[in-house]
Amino acid sequence: MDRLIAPLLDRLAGRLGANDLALVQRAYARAAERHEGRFRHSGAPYITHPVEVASLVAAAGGDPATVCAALLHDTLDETAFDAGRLRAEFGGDVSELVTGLAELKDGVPEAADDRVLLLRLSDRLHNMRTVEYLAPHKQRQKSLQTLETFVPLARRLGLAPVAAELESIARKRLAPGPEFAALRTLALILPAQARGRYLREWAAELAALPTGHRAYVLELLRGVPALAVVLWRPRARRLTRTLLTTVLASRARPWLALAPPLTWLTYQLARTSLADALAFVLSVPPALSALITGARRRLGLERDDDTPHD
Amino acid sequence: MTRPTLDVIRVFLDDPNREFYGLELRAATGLGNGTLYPRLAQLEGYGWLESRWEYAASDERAGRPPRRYYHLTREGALQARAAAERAGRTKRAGRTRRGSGLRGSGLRTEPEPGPQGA
Repeated sequence: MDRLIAPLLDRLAGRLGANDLALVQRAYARAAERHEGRFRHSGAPYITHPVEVASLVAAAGGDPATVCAALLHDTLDETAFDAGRLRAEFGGDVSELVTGLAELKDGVPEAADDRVLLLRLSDRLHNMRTVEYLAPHKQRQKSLQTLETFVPLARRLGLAPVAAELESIARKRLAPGPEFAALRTLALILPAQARGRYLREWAAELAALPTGHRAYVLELLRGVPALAVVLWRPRARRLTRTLLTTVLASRARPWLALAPPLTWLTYQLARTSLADALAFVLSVPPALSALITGARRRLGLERDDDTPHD
Repeated sequence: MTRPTLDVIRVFLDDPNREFYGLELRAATGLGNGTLYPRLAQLEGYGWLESRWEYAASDERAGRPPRRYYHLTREGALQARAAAERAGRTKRAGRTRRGSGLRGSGLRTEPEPGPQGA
């Protein structure tokens, strides 16, 4: 059992006096006894957690009392081992740190003793290192909270490597899954300028969503075609307009295209009946002309001075 | 104007100066996001809504990717109010279908009596 604590004692040996080392050892012994028979989600004996937290505290330069408090941080309970007993065994400093942490446990660490914050942060770092053993929605919850609260806290305490590690674990847990890759593919049907924006927007919403991640993406997949229609519609309209404006730029231009088929049709009609050809010439070109003028007017290419507006 | 579109504009009209992001609108309208985003895009296309990214520096978002916030434009507020009123009139005049209008939007203030009676 003592080989669990040995690396920590070795690390502290150069820094602490014999009394402090003895205190750390006693804290470990008490914690090991309190956690006897308890296990982490990973299946490891529970005592591995306080030992890891204590090592993190020691690595961050925590004092002996904080290291002891880390070892003892989950040992309190109202009946068998209360704050009074803790104080009697380990002194006021350690007991205040442990109770301070217990009070903080679910709150947002804002205004608290820096040593309590260091404990809380180290506790969270080890929990995040083993977060994969939790249920998926818990993983997301913890990761969100880590990004929002603990990464800034680590930076504030000057622990940049801790901040970086927390951020990287949390981001990995929040990274969009394979469904999002499908969404990214389907989003190719959206106009290019809008595509990036919507994917970023959805990724941000997903990151803020504690549960229902898969359902959210599947529902989005259903909506992308409708979104594509909405986004393409004005562009399609603009394109049609550009095309028509080019074709109808002058009155003569459409006739350049229409004259050959019209001539050919007239010729074909004249071969069987001159009357038909005459009727065709008298009716079709004026009708087309009226259409062209109307279209040019609608496109704003023709001023209609002689048609009074109402 | 379709019912989902009305659901969306009614949320905005309830608090015309507020900005909403997608998840809030989803919760407030009860629409699936597959319906919500096309409606939002449509309303943006009309010029009734505008959207922006959350400011990168804002402290409260620390570590979270920025949200896209939507708000009513001034023109949008006028048009949307008129559209909602028109829809309200036709609903009162014509529709007797159960659960018409604001089903699931959380905006209905009084329960509508169903056809089978209460």
